[in-house]
Amino acid sequence: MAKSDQILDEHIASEYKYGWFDPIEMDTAPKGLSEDIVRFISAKKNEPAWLLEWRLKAYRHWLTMEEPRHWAHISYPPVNFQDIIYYAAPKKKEGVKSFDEVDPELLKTFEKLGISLEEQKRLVGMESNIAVDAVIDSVSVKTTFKETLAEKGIIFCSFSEAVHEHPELVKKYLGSVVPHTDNFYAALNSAVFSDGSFCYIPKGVRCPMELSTYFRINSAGTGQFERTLIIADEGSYVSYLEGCTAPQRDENQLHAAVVEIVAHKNGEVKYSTVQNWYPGDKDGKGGVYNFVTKRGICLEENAKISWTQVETGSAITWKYPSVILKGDNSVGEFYSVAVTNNMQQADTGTKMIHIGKNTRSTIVSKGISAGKSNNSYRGLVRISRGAKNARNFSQCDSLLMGDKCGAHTFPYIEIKDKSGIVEHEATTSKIGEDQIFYCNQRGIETEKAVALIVNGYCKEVLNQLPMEFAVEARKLLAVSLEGSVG
Amino acid sequence: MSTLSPPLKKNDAESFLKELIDSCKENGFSQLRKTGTENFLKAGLPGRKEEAYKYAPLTSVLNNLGTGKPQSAASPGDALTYLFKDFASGNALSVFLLNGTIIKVPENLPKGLSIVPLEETSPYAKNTGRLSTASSDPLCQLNNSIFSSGLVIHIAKGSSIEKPIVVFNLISSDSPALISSRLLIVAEENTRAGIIEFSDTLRQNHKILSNEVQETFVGKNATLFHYRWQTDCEMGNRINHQLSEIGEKGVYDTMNITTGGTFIRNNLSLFLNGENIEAHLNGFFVGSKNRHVDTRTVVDHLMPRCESFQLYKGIAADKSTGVFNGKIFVRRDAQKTNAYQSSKNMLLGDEATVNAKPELEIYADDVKCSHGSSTGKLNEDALFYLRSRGLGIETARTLLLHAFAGEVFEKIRHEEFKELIIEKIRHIVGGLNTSHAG
Repeated sequence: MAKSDQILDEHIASEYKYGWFDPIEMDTAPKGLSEDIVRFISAKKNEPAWLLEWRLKAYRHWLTMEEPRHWAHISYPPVNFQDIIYYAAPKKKEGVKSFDEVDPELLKTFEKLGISLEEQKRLVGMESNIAVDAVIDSVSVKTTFKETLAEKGIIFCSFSEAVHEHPELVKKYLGSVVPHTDNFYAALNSAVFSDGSFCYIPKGVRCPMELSTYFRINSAGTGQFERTLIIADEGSYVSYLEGCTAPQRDENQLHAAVVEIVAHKNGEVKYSTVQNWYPGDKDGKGGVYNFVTKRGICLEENAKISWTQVETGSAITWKYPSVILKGDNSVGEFYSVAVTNNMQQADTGTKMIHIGKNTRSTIVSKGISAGKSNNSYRGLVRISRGAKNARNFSQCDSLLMGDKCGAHTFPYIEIKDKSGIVEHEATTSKIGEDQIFYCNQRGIETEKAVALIVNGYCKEVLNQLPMEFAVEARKLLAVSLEGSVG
Repeated sequence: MSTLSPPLKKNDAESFLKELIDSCKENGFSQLRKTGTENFLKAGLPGRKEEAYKYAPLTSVLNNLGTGKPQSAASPGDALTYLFKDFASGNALSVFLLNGTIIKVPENLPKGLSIVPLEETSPYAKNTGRLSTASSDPLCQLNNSIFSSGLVIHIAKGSSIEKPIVVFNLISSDSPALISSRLLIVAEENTRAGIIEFSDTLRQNHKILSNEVQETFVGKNATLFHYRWQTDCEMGNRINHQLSEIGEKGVYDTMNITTGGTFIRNNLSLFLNGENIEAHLNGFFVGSKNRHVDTRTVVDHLMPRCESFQLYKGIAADKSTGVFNGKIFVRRDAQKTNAYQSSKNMLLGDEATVNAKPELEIYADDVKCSHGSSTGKLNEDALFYLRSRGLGIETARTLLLHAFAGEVFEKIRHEEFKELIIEKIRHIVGGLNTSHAG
């Protein structure tokens, strides 16, 4: 039997097993959160005792914490944590039979983003032969991909798999960058995280391809409390992509993910995100609350961590990808484009904590607000005592489109070493009428002109993205800002 | 006079102040006091978790303060022979205050200028509390509640006061004390005037905290400058709430220079409540020993076509801390706003700290707003350049620090004061411990 057939068989068999042999097996936890639920999740995933203990510790700590509702520049009704289902086994969605059943708005968006027909079908969950083919394709892609990686000794698998196959690594690094005590949502995630990605690059290995959650079919549907752990050992390099440019209609209101990155001596991690969760409708109804904790640590000398993010989705974004620069000569980078339209709210930025000597960090943040949205940059640059010759440069620009939106900047700068040099600059302005006029004059209609100008404005950040991602991100920006002009 | 045991915890400090509120049953302004007391008790003392006081060690400032009322240890005579007496003579209208109470006012005031004690019955006092009752700062509310003295400077419609009004704002007490005073400045329509304030806590060996409120109203087409130099002694602590409202086409120019005291907090709130206003906010501090200089500015653009410019600089030596927290609000209606904010700091001491938080909150689209903040050390290349031309390390360093400060002082609109401050600052930065390896 050909390898792909074998995989296909396995794949089908597993589904069959799930739906046939044990139809009454509970694959969804009852609503609400308690120690029992935490135990239930852990048992469901067949986790070792130490991990259950770790989850429970986090849960007990979470109980003592208060939901952070006041400091961020966002407002939303309180979240009822007892009204959430904390575990649902990944299952096949109720498929749609044809495109006629799909929201035409969604299809229009797909078209604008230039997403292929097959891909569209996968995204809307359509059942068809092509869709199955697509699955086969993905599985085989996944396999060949895994072989190449395995040759180099790279571990790239789901978090649950890592817990069973590489417990020593998970045990060593889990919670080492974002401890369960870190903040309210990190504690919640530590207690109930469902799955996520695990990635380990061994010493001296340069990962030959960009790793993406996109390739891992099993990551679908487990997004709510995702946990990602990336470790770059000495002298290794990896570029990691998260997310998808296609709009994700997701019924989950609350997303509280945690991403931890550890970079050892001379190690480098480049983490790129395109976030396009459902932002809610024009009146701000629905939409995802994206409360994410992302942090990396440059543990030893010459390590480098670079965050690039394009944030266009979610009703509320609350996200501060950070770098702790512990090793001497280590480098932290943060490049961000955040777009808010209609009633969206974003409070996003970064933290650069300089501890080691000669550490450097760069922050480039571009905010774009349109409609009635509010877009805030909130960032911290801290030069600790003893962080000799630390250097930071921050630039936070905001672009306003329309007179009902808001653009805000809240940088925190704390310097305790006299040899440090920190620079911060921020500007806020609107798209120049003369710029639009210039484009109009050359036959470019206003909407396209705006997309052009916005892309130019974001270029510094978009250039940091891997090629294919950057192309899609450009289109995405145009789509996100549709209807915000004129 | 009673001295309480030092309040170490926040709760202790609150009960200590509660006692103070109860003991203070001054006459007049009963409505203002009542609101102040209510608001203060509702908010309580701000802790470190309070965003506005994130970087301020307030509880330690309130330790060891007596509840007694300040007494005038220094006689007016002492005050008169004070350091800046030569500046006060001749070309200025000098007002002397001790703990907020007038001790001397020039005899022949020019037409249109009134300088009187703050009393509820005074016709000039009608705006008292208009801005301070709305303040979200609990310590401003505390002043509303327990202030014991005050001064009004009133400039009548159409008057132009040629000589600067020089206010010697002196603080002194023979025992540890919390002093609460007020200043009300009203510059009516079409006026021109300038105020230069020397704030000083006279040398003594017990702790004093002066928690003062200044309300300024600049009318239509009025131009007012108000420069303040704080030279408090080491036992002196000062929290200044400077609240100002500017009217259409008004010009307001203010500067805070801090070279003394242990805990100094300048809280500036500016409401640009008219079109075509021009506002300048500048500041400079020198930190040495354990000094904590905390500047917080809020510039609220409420109306279209206004401009605001901020430049704050500081030098932190030894174990001192400098804090700059600036905020620009641009409201929905404030189209065509131009707002600039710049904060630059220099760290000289190994144990010195600088915290900066320059914020923008913008709700209008046709605006130009920018802020910049930089912190660093003395430029090695510049130092080398000067030394290679034969300047000694000390001279070169002083020259560079002095030049760094100079950018702020260039903005002073009063030549005599500008010269005085430039000269004194040269002296002060020259004496700083730069602990430089050079």
